Amino acid sequence: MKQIFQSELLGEQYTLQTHPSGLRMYVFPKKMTSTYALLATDFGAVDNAPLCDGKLTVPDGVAHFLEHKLFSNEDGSDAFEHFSAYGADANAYTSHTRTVYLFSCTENFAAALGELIDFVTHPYFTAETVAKEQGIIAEEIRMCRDNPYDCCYYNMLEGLYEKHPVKTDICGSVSSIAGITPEVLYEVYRTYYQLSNMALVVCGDISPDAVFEIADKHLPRAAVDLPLPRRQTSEKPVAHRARIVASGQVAKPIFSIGIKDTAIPKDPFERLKRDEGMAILCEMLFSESGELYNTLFDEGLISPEFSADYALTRDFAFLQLSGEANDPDVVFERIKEYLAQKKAKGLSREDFERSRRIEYAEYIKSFDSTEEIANTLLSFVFEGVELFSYADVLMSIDLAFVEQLLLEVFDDTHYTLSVIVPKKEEK
Amino acid sequence: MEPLILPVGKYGKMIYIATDRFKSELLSLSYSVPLEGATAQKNAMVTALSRRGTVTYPTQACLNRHLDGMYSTAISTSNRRMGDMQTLSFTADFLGARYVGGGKGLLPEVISVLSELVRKPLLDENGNYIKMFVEGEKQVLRDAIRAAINNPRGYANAKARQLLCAGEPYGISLIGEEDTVDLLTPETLAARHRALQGEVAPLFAYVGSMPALEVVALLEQAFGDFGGEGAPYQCLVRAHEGDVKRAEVEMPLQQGKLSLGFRTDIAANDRLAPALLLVNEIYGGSPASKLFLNVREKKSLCYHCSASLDLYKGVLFANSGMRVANRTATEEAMLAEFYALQEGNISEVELDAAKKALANTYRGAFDNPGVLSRFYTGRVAANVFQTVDDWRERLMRVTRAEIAEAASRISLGAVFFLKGTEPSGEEEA
Repeated sequence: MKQIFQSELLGEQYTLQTHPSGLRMYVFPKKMTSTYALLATDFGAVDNAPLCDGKLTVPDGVAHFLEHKLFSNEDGSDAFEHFSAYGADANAYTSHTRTVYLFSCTENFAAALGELIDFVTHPYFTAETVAKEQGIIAEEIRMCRDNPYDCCYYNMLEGLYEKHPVKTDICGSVSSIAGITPEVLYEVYRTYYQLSNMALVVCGDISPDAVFEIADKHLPRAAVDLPLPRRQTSEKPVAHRARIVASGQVAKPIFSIGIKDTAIPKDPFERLKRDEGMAILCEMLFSESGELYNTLFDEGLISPEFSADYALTRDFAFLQLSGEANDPDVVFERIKEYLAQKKAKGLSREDFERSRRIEYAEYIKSFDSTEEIANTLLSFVFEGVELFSYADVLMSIDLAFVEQLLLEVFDDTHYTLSVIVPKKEEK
Repeated sequence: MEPLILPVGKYGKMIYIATDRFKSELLSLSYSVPLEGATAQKNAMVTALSRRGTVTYPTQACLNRHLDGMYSTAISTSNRRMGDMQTLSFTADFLGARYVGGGKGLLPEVISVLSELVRKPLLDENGNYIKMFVEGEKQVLRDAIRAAINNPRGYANAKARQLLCAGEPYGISLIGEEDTVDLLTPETLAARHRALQGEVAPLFAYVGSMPALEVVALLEQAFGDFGGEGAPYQCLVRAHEGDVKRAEVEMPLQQGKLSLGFRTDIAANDRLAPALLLVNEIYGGSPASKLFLNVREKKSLCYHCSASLDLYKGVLFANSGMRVANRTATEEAMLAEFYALQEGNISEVELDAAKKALANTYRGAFDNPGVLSRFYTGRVAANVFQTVDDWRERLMRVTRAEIAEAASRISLGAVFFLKGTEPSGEEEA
């Protein structure tokens, strides 16, 4: 059965059909030259629950490793080569919570979509190809270790979380990936790549029926229904550590302030509302138009690049404030003072309206790119909410809700400060 | 989406691309000046200072709040190389009229803000920049120069470029060196701003649905008397002569970064320019390239290994990151792939994949106003105008013999190695 979702505001619509294999397929027709398709599993770096009745410990970095390895085919070819033959631009990525395989093309869509489904649904691993990939990923890990921004980010997560696997590097470590074998990969694949745990999203100048027909030719007929182990990690609301300082190849200290949020609504719609409320609140508190940014910048305390990003998933949430400063401790104190003052005095309605209008404009602009539409739609699918409900959620948020978030999230005990200082200045 | 080129005022031009495909619109203003050591840093500063304060929006906060009120209109600035020229740009990205109440929408206000940024910086009573803004921006500039080491890959590429094009404008930093920052003053920068105002030929690009003549009329109201004849485009395109230049710098990193610099005498208007782009694509432009499939996938030497071409300058850089112990093996493997290409060792599969990848890229340009406007802005600035479709069709007609000929006119000129001195942390997996 097909379901059609429409937005009058945007003049857009998309269609959902669930295949007998369990795969949810979404098609968002869009008059663009490129068509963008992604096939994703609701499985990422945080999914490290033991498998095989607790007998198999999943090594850190396995989701990312699997993402790399799926591109190798049984005949010795690489899926990239096949996509190239169709003129399609393929890629993949692994995040904390999902793994996504994708391509964009301006011709040969049917062949490329077939290739996407075929290579993701036909795993092939040998000891030899796994060993070769360990060499490549080891270099990726070393590259990330040399990246001070990555190090600062992961140290911030280490400061926030005592146990939650979100603090583990998505790539794992050179020693953890050494424990990956074809058997581990097959077991992880069997568990998390069930088509009922996956979604196909296509956005471009193509009809939903055409996509469903192509996909049907490449998908198995029956659904597999295996348990999906998810580790439940309970975390205290307070940050695990107050401060982590390390050294790195930076000219000037960089910092990341983490603010842990453990009040995650179970209801997906409420989660979306919290996510949007936090986006508005961050715009009000930390944007380049705001008092805090401009005061810190004018006083020379921070460099121009200062950002606030809130991440909310079904089992972890945090806010990250990052930037560059000669003295990150001073900036941290000033931010805490500013937030305390805002909590005491309340927020301005004018700022609230301005920030909500910005979110509205950004939402509309995001429908100009097939890539952005497909990736946003996927996020909504895995979060369990309907894409076009965003506008209603945005309008349902009022100043009181945002003020409540301010009081709830910004608690001094939820904060951690991660700093990377230039190598010679390590204290 | 064929572009129109229309005059704006006495000295300006506009690239007009009519489309209602997007919910947002784009307007950019760019101008090019010769890239010179004496002025590059000042030009960068003048551009950065435009965001600090203007007559109507005397502080950055004030300007940002105004842009927020315009449905989150974003105006970004950029400072790029265009051949041996320095191109400074302002690009506005804003919601189309149908989402903001119709009529002419936000465009008149966007043009007004753009004009304010470019023409009316906040000055003191003597006509100089505000000292506090200048000192603040000088610190930002110093930090940016020093922060080159934060990005090892970018650092290695910049060093390879400097080595390859030493003594030429292309080798100059777009933001200058730290030792000249202290010499910048409100007076010298205001003088530079005045000089630019009278010299540069403005090039606008608009991607949106307002009729062309209405856009021109709005631009002429704000910029009709702006600028001058503009400096002619210049770019020295030549093959490398003499020995390969080599340099190495040590840094406390786990990996090494290798950057190989090649050059050619094939200019952007040369009949072999399309073949040159195919050389780059086959060598290291995609996951189907020789570098990716052979050096990364088969030899497992590195995670990233790719090549990029500056078509205007005729320089190509291949770079990768590897354990220091694998440096020689990686360099040899990367060069072996290049020499194989020069010898015409290009399979049908490689040629076909490269052409299809480029066809996909240029067809896809129509989906992105930024890509489209940058394509045409570059072509117009370098006097090699052609449409996206013309260019794509030329690429598709390139023969194997032309690729071999183009490759034979490329030679290695510089090798830069950023040597990591930290232990790799853990044993090889």
